[in-house]
Amino acid sequence: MGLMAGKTSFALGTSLVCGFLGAGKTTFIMEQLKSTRGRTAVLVNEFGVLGIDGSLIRSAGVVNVVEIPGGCICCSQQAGLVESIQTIAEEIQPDVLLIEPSGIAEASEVIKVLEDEALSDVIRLDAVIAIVDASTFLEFSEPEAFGAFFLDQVTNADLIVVNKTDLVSPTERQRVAQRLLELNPVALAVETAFCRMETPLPSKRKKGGRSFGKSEPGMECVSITPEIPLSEDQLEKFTSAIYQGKFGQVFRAKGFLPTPDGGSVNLQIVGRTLSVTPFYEEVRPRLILIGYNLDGEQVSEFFKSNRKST
Amino acid sequence: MQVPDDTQTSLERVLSYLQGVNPQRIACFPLILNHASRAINVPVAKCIQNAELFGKAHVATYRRYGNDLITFLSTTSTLAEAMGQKMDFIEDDAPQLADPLLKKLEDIERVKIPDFTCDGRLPVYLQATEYAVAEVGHEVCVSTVLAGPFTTAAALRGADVFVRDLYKNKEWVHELLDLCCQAGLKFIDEILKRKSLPIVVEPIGSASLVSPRMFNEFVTPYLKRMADHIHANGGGLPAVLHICGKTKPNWAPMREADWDIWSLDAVDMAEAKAFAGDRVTLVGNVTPANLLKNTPDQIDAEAKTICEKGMGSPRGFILGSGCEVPINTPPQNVDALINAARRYGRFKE
Repeated sequence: MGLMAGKTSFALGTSLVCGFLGAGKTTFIMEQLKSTRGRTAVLVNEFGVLGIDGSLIRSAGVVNVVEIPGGCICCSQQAGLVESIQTIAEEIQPDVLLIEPSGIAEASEVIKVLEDEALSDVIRLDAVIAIVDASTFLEFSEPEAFGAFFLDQVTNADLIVVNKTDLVSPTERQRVAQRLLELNPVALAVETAFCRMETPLPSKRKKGGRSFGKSEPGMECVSITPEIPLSEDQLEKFTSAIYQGKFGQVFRAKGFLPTPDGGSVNLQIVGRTLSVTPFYEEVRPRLILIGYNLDGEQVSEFFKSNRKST
Repeated sequence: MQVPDDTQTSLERVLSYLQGVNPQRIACFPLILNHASRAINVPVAKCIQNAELFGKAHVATYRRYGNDLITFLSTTSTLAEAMGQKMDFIEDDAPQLADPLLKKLEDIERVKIPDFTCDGRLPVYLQATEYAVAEVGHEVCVSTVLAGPFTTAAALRGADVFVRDLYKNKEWVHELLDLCCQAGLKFIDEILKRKSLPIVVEPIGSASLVSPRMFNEFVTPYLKRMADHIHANGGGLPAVLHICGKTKPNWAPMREADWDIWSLDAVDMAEAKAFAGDRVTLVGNVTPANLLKNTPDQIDAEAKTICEKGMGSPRGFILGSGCEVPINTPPQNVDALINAARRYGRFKE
């Protein structure tokens, strides 16, 4: 008998890999499998084309692939996802879990399920990754090109893999980058061809935050979810702490921080330049720091201590 | 809090809406689909492939819960299945789509208008409908549910490929939608012949997947044909449409399709009431996942809030689940939902 999900000694490091048809999700996962250490399980929901991508990934030979029924995008499926993840954690007990939802899934809805109380001791969401096709992105990201799913995947990502950049001109690459920055100013964007990234996804949380490895030699990147709102004073204390080097040597910080009035602000720090602007769209709180010797635990501690004082 | 007794049958209650008068209390439509198999203790796959079991399961469900609508549906792909799409049957879960029938555009030649006496599980649906109408049709409204043209087309093609087709292969998409609409209209005729209420579900028309512009172009025209057909041939029956998930951005083009009753899922019922005005009766929208995992008290509280928002809608409000009642929902949670209609769905004298 496997361990009970709620009693696993550690939460399973999990990444959500989103992307529309043809963006390169399966290629991305197969690339990651080449460099990820330990046992990986891949949870696939292909919404009507079950098994195709699952077979491809399975043929890589080093993973367990579990397919959950497609069908309706709502309700019962959520329960199915929770049950599938619990089963994987109990019976397969992998070191890493990659979840590949349907190409037309809304990332925010899947994230809600992954944050369900029933999974709180079972998984730890390390990264939300969106794969986009540079050659179609400008066209597909136009308002009303599709339903909400397409932009939802991009705006909820921590890491955006801009794939197929070999197929577009430098000018178009720049326009794609600009559009992505407008849509999701806090995500780390990485350009690739054939989804080949230099570093693997994290198999372990980096000092209390999510880590995407290095964005350039020697540089690190950590991400946390700031769940409590910060007052103006607390925000000032936080940015001061960044400048004083309390969290490491931060070159870049970006994120959406909740405010006491129920809204959020977009925080951007580049070097010594600070910008805090109100953000009126509904967004998931998150904060990413990029720099050297970063200490995500200290960042989490800052938010915890402020929770106590609020 | 005590649950007040009902003084009307389910059918009388539902007919009150059609007559434009207040029922003794609002009706309650939990969308019980595959959960019905639990009422006769048989696995889902066995229940939904056998007309006798399918019919008995839904009648037993009605007798157990007193739901105000019987809903024959096991998957939104049933019509696609009868048009040639292969399905994978899972022992105790809803059937799932196998490889799409329309892998290439030219495969559209393989799509057929079904023969309702033998294709797919259409005979199972229709015979089960006949059984339920004969058995309990005098006391409760029996409905037979089919997917709309957009959802059926997505099932034949694979939903994500189909969504991309909306961009790349528009004419082909319209050709396919027309075929799916023709099949749907024939299915509606078969349902009406059996004195059942046809209900159309169009989940792929959710705003998560299609924008208002796309809805207007690809969904509205075909749904309008179906609504017109029901109005012309239904003997006064209302046209009932269910779209699950988030629909608010698409309400304006939905309204153009001219359906009388909207069953809604992930929306604010107060906003829906404001939009519906005196044109549309609303059904909804207790969160389906909550029916599975919450306690009866929590279901009662959620349903109470929804009733507070939905009651007073000029064309009427019906309490329901936002989408399918999950298969393993504890029966006491379905009871809690229906009891909430008894408690909070009463009208001032």
